Amino acid sequence: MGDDVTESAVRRPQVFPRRLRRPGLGAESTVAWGMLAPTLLLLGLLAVYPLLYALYLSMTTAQVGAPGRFVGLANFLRLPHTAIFALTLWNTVLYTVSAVAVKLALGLVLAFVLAQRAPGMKWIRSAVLVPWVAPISLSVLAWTWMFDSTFSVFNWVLMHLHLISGPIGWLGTPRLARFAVVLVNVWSGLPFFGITFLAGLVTIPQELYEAATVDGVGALGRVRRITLPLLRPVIATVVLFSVVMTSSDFATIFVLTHGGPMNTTQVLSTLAFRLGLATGDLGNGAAISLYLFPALLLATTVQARLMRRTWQW
Amino acid sequence: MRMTRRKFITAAGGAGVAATTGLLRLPGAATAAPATIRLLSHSSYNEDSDKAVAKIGEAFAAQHNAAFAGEFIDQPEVAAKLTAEDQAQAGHDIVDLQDNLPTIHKNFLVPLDDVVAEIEKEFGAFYPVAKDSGYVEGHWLSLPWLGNSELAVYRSDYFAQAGEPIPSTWNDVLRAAPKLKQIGHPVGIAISQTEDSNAALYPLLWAFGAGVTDTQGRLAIDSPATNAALDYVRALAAQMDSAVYSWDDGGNNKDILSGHGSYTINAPSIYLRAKREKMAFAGAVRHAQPPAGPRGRFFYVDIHGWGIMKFGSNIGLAKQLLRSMYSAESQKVFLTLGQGYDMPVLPRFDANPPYAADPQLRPELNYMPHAHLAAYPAGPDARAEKAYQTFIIPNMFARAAQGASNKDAIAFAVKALTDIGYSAK
Amino acid sequence: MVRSPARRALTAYLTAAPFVVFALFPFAWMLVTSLKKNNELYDLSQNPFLIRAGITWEHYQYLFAQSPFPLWLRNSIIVAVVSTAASVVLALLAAYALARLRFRYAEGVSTFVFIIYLLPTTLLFLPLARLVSVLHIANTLWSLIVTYPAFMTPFITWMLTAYLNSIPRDLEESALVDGCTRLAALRRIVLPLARPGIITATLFGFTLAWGEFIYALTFISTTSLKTVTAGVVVDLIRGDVFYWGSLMAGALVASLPVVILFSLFLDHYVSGLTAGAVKG
Repeated sequence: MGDDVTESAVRRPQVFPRRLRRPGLGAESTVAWGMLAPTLLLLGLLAVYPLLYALYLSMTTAQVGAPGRFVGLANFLRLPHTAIFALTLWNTVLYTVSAVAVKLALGLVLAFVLAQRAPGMKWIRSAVLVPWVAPISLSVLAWTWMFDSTFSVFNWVLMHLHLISGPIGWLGTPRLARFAVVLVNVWSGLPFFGITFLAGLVTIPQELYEAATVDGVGALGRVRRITLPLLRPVIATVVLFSVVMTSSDFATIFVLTHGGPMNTTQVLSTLAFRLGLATGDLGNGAAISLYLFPALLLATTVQARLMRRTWQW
Repeated sequence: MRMTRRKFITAAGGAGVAATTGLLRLPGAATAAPATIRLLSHSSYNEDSDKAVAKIGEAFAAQHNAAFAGEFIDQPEVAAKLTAEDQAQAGHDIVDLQDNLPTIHKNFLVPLDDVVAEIEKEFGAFYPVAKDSGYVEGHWLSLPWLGNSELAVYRSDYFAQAGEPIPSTWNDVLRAAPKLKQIGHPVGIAISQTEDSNAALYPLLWAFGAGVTDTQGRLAIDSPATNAALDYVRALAAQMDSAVYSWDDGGNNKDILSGHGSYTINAPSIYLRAKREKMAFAGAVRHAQPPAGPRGRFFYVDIHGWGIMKFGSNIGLAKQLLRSMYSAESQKVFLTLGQGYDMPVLPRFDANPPYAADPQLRPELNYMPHAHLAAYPAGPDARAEKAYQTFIIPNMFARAAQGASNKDAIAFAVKALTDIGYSAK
Repeated sequence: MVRSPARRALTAYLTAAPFVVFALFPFAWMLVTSLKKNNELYDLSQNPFLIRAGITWEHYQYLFAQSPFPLWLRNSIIVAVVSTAASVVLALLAAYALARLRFRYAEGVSTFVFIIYLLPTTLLFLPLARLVSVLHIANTLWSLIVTYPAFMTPFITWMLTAYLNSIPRDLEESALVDGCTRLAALRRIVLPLARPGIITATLFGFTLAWGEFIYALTFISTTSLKTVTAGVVVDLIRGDVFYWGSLMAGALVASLPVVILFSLFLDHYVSGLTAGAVKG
């Protein structure tokens, strides 16, 4: 039964399906390209060209005001041997993996929670979505204030519960600062996971659960044998999306920790900004920001294939 | 990148032509749309300093049928903004250039030799440390404007309570620190990725006889003196809150102004704020000269100057504005509204009215003649800026204070400094 | 195992409560902070959860009367509205072609658009700063209006293609047989049917544009031309102690438009996401 179910569920969000054959429309191709032209031009000029330019920059020693020499892959090869970059790369991986893992786990729970029926559930769903729609650079300011070195509300609560004797430097201790940036990223990204999983959940036919219940499958068993397999394509999509977005996150760290303490929350995007813009080292800045590009490209390609296969486009 | 060059030259040439035609235009001619002179500066911790610049700019604009737009942004964002403007060939006419920035943006800056010559002719020479920042490869690329000091800021009542005299040396600070901690008002000096931390720890290094480089710019951080400084900071950090590892530039301000902290290294912003807000303990917030170390007392200064961007469209007018910033009248506005937060970079204006009126600002007298930039003992360059922007010195101290051995902390600094281009040769 | 509706609702509320608190606490904190008087806000001995000294509007007054905040809001609205409108139009055309028309390389184009969608803005801000200068739009609102569609269009295209696929083709086919042009069919038949999808995509695009940070931070220098995200972070922060009231007020006010929009259209949004399932 499982396979059948997967098939029918998977056909649902028909992204880019196979086009139907239609007779007598020879000019169709012309019309299609005409309709696509503005978008393709735009993307060519504002995405592909800058990407190529960034690739070029990353292979030079360009400083601001000095074009520099072409050095091939030298920047990319040298960077891992520098102290700050090596740490930054590791931070980026750690940040991405832990934030995505937590969002995935909590996102599934959240979806189940939001799928329950109760009066006013619509409002609960809206409320939970707020962190995701609010501008992240501004909402992180609130977190900055809550983690403030002097006026942290968390410290106040912990001190009044006598759990700590003096204020904790949330953003000054490497482990706590890493925890804090992951927490804030989870806070802002969780709604996307929860709501998208919810959208997947509600499409699972209720009869399946009923049939399983009749067959004596318990609640956990139903989740494991029905829900998770049916959600798999949605989960894969959301996770890959999130990996790309989290690994290139800028605002959270730029506003919350500036990469500190001791660069333990520095990620590629913030380091690229600091070196590339603040000190004008354009070549290295570009190389740093492009460092994960091959991995992102791979993730994207995998995802495109996955979606093609599961959603048959 | 060849494109960039060509574009850049065209843009600069075009700007020159535009500026010339602007100057040739008769005032009040029907075609003359008023030019707007755009100025970018950091937002001063003393808000009135921003107002002073705006006032001088507007007064100038009013006299020259122009408009003035002064824009003041968070200090740490200025450096990045300048590169973005270089890249975009657009932005402000006049920009705020701190310490190393004139040398980094030298290809985009209009030489100001004529402006500086006129000013020095009228008022005498700038302080040497101001010239260190503004004078690049034989040209004035930045007109020095002000210096920001780093003083010892303390609560006299807490020191009295702890039964400790006001520290004159770093050893005095260390002796007082445990007692101050015990009465619930610890010493707090930023050991974090923030400019205040650079500003406190560079001079501490110097006071122990250490430094990032020697006078020739050769890497010299791996020294017995650095070891002594690390030992010292490790001991002091044990008497401070762990919050100091997370402080931004406002961290120590908050610490003192909330009534919690007792001692820090900072510009006079804390003192001025307590005074202006008439806070209950304002009278107890005092200033002293920065503490001395085994090698004496060292004064750290951030020099801010004004540069004119070559791609701006009002170069001639912008130069005239800069010239007008040094007049008896402009300086009076600047010094009065500066409230002693801003130190003049021309000895001539050291008869600073706020200094005379307020004994708490007197430690700033005689500060500039001895002050050094972060690049000391070498001259400013791109490497010094990278070290400053990536907070290598604060991070070295943070490592040592949080458990790393001196050897490891120094090894980190040597590696990080080598990564950005320093070498021992 | 059968539970009464009341118990079921109670379980729902209890399980949802932690998530709601987690999601909304920072906003509640913004509100409390923005309404407090400075002397209470910066007094360590006060309970930070309470407002004892009375509510004050001074932070909002500062924001709206003495800071460029209203200008930033205006700029954000202009940039977000124009770039969203442009993106939706472009994406609608592209999505129609991808969903309905047969042409060579269709799959290639889909993949290309999709990959561009996943190209992070943090990869492109350095070269784009050069590009906007070559286009002579550096330091103008145009630099954002022109560059935002580059990351919005791919996503909206992708969303709309999915939605169009879920709409039956019969009506459109018969219109075409009756001699309608493609564009006319798109306008008269597809557009009304696709409205929920378009609303979802628009909403989403608007949110992306409203919250964009790194381009706004990099391309705009002039204070009066900043958007609210970059303006508050760069121009309102002085790093000093006394700005948190107005910072929190600014963050809260700037979050409101998108939050209101989303709560108005949430049902659309969820059904937009599940479009395929519901309709196809």
